[in-house]
Amino acid sequence: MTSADVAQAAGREVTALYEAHALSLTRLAYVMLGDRPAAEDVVQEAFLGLYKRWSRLRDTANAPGYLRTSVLNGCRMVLRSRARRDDRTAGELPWESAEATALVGEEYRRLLLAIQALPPRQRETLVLRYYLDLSEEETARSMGIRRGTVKSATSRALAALGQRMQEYS
Amino acid sequence: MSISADQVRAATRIAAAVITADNLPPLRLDESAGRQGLARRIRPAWFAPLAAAAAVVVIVVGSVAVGSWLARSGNGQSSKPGAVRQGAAVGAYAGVPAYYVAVDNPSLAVVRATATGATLATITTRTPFVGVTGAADDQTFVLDAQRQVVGGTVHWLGQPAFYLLRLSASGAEESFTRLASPALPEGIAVTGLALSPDGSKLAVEADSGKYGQPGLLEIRVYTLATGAFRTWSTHGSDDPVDPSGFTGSGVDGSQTISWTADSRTLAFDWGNQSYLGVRLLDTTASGDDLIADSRLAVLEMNFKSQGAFPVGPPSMSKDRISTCVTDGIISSDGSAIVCGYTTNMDGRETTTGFIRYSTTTGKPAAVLGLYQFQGQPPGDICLYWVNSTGKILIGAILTPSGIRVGVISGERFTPLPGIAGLLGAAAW
Repeated sequence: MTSADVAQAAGREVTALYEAHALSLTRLAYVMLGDRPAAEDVVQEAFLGLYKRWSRLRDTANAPGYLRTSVLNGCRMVLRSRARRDDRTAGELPWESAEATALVGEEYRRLLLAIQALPPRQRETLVLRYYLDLSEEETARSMGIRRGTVKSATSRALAALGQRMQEYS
Repeated sequence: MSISADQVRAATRIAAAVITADNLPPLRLDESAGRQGLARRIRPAWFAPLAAAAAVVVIVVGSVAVGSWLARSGNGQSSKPGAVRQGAAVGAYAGVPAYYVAVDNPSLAVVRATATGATLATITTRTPFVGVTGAADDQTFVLDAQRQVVGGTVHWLGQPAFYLLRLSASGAEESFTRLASPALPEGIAVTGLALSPDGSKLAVEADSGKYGQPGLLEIRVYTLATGAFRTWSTHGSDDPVDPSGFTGSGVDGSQTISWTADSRTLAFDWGNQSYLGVRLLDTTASGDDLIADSRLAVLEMNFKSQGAFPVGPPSMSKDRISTCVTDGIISSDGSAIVCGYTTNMDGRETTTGFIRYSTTTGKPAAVLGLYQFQGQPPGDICLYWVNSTGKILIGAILTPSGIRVGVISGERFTPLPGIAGLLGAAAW
């Protein structure tokens, strides 16, 4: 096979993975970031990274796991970048529309806001534990932290959400 | 108000459902697809239009005069990196230990000079280091190693192993030996440890659950010379959604339990659906119930009362601070408990700092290293060490340009050399 053939085959494989996993990964990034364009970019970046490394993958069956890790890393990078931004201006946002507001409902909108205001690790822990329904062990592995840390971060995050929702009410 | 896992599950899934298969962009396998887009699209999130609602959330530290140690522009725009109000040289802070041990990566711990960042010794391991703690002499440390999660399938392997590291007066490695005790059962996850100031006892905070079976948290105190130990346990629910209690901050690297100078009293964080706070355990008194036999010293948050936000220290009389993100560390004289907090309003303004509580009143007495900036927090705040009175500390603070580790005293910050970003576990 020529290098062009290899690249073409990799493209087909990665495209197939995109068709199978792009929706769930974009949703994950969206829940993490609350920003659709950034979520889509993070996912594109993850697939591009996979495409570039395809020939070096030891086990292509691990590609979905690799993609999820890449997406989470990309989300962390975006969040760090946000912290460095001085002049963030509002764009057109999903929840600004009346349609979206009706879809989500005021209570969940407030809860999403409170989740987004959590410290990064608490937020990510909640997303992995309850959006993805990962176990404590799987969450620990995905985040590279201890199981005890997952447990306590989850508890503190839920407590903080309760605190904030009480202020809303 | 309590929030359930199901509420979080529902909210996040409803939010995710906004993304549908028919409105996804096509895959682009060229360089412009990803990184360029990431750089271009740093935009406010879906929570931004809720700014007005969020204004009631969490924290109002109204007066910058309270002590921002980074210069702020007059119009409230974010501070610029490099505008740090520089503190004194590290050596000018009384009591700051000369050396520290940090877990650089799971297979490597390093001994560094605090003032210069020079690496004085390196210790490698085949079993990952996950924690470290030090005695008051600045020459005695204990590292714990445990292989916790490995491979494609999650497994918990092996017994936690503890190693005693002794340094010479110059910070060089003098000895590194595996301790016969603690001898924790296989599968227990160590979530925190603290060597007593005199180096004679090791407190271990552990999750008693086995793989796949989260357990209740407990604290064991081992006498290193004899291997004898006592255990204080929690009772009730181990469900993080509806806990009968939990300890630990959720921040790896931060110290989670701490001793007073007499090596008798142990401070640990505790929370359940009623409150968050720091409790003190007299390890020489009778009893084995972690809660019944300890006392609440600092109440960070009371979820059952209206207006649950804690009131700030006197200098911030009309302002409110938020609950801590890190565990509280008790000063060795027992007068203060210090913890780090981070809050974010409407996804745009971050406030971060360290609260010093008085153990006499149980109330906040001061905020150290207070800083506000526009943008989201770049990571987690961390607290590694406090001095004998809780007025000088070593921690990782958040800035718009990233995370920086240094010495904090009031409004002053002195970055520690040789540290880029957040340390893993570290002990001074």
